[in-house]
Amino acid sequence: MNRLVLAGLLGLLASCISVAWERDSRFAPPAPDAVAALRPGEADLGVCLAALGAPLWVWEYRGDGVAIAYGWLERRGWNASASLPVGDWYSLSFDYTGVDEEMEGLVLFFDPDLRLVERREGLLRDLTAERRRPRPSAAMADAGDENG
Amino acid sequence: MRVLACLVPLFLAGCFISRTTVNEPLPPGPIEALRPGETTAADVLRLFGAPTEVVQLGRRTAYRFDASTSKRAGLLLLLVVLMNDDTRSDRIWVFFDENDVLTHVGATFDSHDPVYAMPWQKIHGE
Repeated sequence: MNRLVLAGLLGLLASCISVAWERDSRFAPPAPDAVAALRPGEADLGVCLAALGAPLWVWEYRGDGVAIAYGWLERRGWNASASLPVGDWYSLSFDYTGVDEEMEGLVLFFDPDLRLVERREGLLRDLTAERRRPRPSAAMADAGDENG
Repeated sequence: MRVLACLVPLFLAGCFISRTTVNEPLPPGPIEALRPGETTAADVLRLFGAPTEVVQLGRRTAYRFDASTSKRAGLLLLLVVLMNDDTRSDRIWVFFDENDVLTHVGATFDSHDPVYAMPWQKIHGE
């Protein structure tokens, strides 16, 4: 009898508690050999695009330079979540993800002549911090010029 | 035995698959028509339509065209969910000089590669 009650209780809890084993795969990583062949000072933008394909992001780097970023994710791990309705309009919830969701990345920096000057690898979030930094609007830049 | 019979259906709650696509897959054919030094930004727009993003790069500009496909498969047990999510994309970046003439092209066509799988299965040549 107790086991039947336990089974029924588990059935009721299923809508509130879940434990998930998930794999998330996003985009293909570039071939390590192709990346290693791209040497700063030698390769240019055309060579890099031919070797690695289209990047995820492109942004301006030091004036007329260019930065391009490749990113990929291959994660596998556990995720636990729970929610409890406490009224008609409210619920308490809890979510724990046991793996780092960050994408890995490769960023290539080119000078104004589009010659590769630097190659960085790591977490894409860290590598692209410069891209995500808000830039002053044209009006603000003009005001700054007027103020000297 | 009756307890076991009650428990088994609870642990076989269900399964699902789903697919999400963003934009139409990009056709590789028109890439062949792009000629650095000749093709203009207007030509590229005629071939591919509106870009997803336009980036100013000093005197240069770059346009991004993309499409992606995600395939998701899950197995729902009573309290445990097993899920796999696989996303791949087609991307084309075209770079123009200050006169809007094409200088560089980068293309990746992977949106047909995602697979439905369980988290423990090997995919993409793992």
